[in-house]
Amino acid sequence: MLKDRAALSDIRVIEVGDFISAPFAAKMMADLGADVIKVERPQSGDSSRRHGPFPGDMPHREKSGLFLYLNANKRGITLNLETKTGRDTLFVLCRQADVLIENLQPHQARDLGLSYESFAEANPRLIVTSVTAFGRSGPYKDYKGHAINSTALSGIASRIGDPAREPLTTPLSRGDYWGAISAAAATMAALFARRKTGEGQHVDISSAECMSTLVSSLNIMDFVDVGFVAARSGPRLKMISYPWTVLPCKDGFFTLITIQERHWQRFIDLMGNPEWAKEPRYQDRDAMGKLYPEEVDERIRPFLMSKTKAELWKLCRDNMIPFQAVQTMENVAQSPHLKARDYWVDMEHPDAGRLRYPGAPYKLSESPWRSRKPAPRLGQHNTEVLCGLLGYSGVDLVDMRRTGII
Amino acid sequence: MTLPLEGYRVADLGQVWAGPVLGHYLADMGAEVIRIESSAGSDKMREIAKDPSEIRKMLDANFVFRNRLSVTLNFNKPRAVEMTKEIVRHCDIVIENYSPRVLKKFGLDYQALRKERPDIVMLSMSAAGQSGPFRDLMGYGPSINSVSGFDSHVGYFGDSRLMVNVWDADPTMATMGAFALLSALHYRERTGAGQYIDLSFYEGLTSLLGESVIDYSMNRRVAVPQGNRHPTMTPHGIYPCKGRDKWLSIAVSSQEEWRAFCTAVGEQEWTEDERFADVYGRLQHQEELDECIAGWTRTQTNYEAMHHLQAHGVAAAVVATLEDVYLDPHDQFRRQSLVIQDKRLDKSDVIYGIPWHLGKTPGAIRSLAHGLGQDNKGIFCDMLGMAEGAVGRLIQEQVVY
Repeated sequence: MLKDRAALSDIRVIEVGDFISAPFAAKMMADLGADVIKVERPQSGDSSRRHGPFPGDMPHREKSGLFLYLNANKRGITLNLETKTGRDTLFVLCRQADVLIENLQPHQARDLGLSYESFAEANPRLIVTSVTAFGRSGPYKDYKGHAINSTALSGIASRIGDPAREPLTTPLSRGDYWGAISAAAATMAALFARRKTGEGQHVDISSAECMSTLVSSLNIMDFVDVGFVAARSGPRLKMISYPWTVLPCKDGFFTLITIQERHWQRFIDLMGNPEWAKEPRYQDRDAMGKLYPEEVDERIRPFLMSKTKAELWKLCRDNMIPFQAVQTMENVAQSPHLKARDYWVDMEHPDAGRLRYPGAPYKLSESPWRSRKPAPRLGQHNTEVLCGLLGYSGVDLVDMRRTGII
Repeated sequence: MTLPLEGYRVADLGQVWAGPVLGHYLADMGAEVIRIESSAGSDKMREIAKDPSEIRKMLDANFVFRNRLSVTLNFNKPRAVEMTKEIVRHCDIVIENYSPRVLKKFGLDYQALRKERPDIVMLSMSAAGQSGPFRDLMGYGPSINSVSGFDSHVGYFGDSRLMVNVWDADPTMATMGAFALLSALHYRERTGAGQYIDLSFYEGLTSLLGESVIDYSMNRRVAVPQGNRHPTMTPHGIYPCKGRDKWLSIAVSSQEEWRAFCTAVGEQEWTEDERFADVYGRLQHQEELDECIAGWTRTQTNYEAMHHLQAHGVAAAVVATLEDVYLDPHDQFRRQSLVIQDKRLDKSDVIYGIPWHLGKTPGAIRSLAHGLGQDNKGIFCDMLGMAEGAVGRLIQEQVVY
């Protein structure tokens, strides 16, 4: 049997990744046991090292919460890809790898000659997964993009926010995660293709395209077929029968979403069957949702404001109504359910100390998701990887350090 | 053309949205996916696609259920449960997203199915997972974003309201599920061992909130909406352009890009304002800076401003409406690589594509959705070896239904 029962322990991944998209894709593989070697710029490293949160808000490149989360379970080396020696070392590394995951800026990839073809030449069996805002082909392939930009171009931002104000991007750079998840899944498909063909290939993921396919495509079809435009409508969706909304309650917010009549009826029962609910105007859930949802909000507001979200949530769970509390991060941290499922990972990092991280998004019974080691310090595994794996000598390393290559 | 998952067979018990999306990913990549469904069931998504002949009206459901075979089995009848097990004997993968108690009630849970096929890889998706005090949590995917903590971030900076989020939870978790499933299948190829995967929407969605989880752990700080602001980038926002409801997103990530941005907007007076000279100043005076930028963007059309800023090396993109996404030359270019084999479709029809661009083995849209039970005869007679007469009787008895 395999020594640690990890699904991907036979896969080596080189990550030339910055911020969220490529790093999270590589993290998904690392968490299932892949040997991920992360390549960072010497001196400054991954930009997520400057993002935070930091303990006591004091910036420190080894203590950024986002970096620590996205890069646990990986080995880390530094390489200056602006130098030929740095690039050659990357190609040597790629010869010993199955997958390269990268999100180089378009101009970097172009100017440094780090194209799919150059990697394929170094290792024809290599799967090269690019995960960028707009993709590596098409008229915008050279455009720069961050999560706010890919979310904008995907059609999603046009649907979030108050119609009287500017559209909103999705919080916490969600667009980068969408690209990352698709990239990880597509990379696995490419590994299956390699079993059949013996060859690697280029997997070209555009975060914007993933978002528009995942979320907007059905609306786009509605638009093309019947001219329907889903626009932003504040704390609700206005295209669908009532309720699809998030409203304030006594101590926070409560989410009421259902398409089924019986759920709404049970909620009316829960409110004690008020007189207004018997009026024909409040029998037509389609009209309530599309024409006068604000009015219905006002009708149910007194009931919501009379109860805490925990009280409302319990009442709804007990009565088979699928409405939910909007949990704050404190509520989530204290969730008895997550505790019972042993979700959290507490990990010690030499600089940042003991912190609590999100745990397994999925529980695999035979080859479980595992947290093995904290994120690497900048260049922590230079010797281990360059000497141990690639056979460079100690003298080579001194030389590379002196010339700023590592 | 090689299809990455050709040769694998999947029993797809997916419902509504998350399950079916995962099913089509596997099918697009070449797996033979058999939907096991029933007129006795209540799949809302399927109800609108009972008649796949009306392609134009039914595009959405046709696409969600595309590339798959369909058999109808009514689990309320013991014989239908037996036949489902017989199908699973011929499968490598089972996917399902019923509420946690449902399949156990029918005797179709993992413990039962692994007896039929010991190396089966089975994935269950549910709101809160298969164990724990909230295992019976009912919820539409989008509302689990509220449970996960995500929705507590969705709103304007300094505003007391929350905005409703887009319904990304189901397809996002389906994609995570696809990754977990293919990883488990990879493990089976190496070891021969099947396994069970318990995917909880709650846990999966919270795993996308790492920075806020850690901020609470580090500083006991509870995240609140930040609108379009970013902790280190500024300007970072969505700005009004010429025309009704036209907008442009801009993100500046370095001092070099800030200088390029100032040049691109024509070195206006405010670009020399000392308050905006470095990132710390700009972070402190975001409101004033955003007002200045809006003064410039209001004089621009959003597409022209995007191309202009990008030519200067500044990240910018229009806030696309659905019409923009449909007509955008970049989106159209990217759609061209989609392989379509169903003769009833052409590229101008297809919006719901395959966002995994695999250069050599791109997968294909081989067929639109099959009608409910369209493959009953093929699966029951050819795969299970039943006589046509026997299938006819089971139809009368509403076992096949």
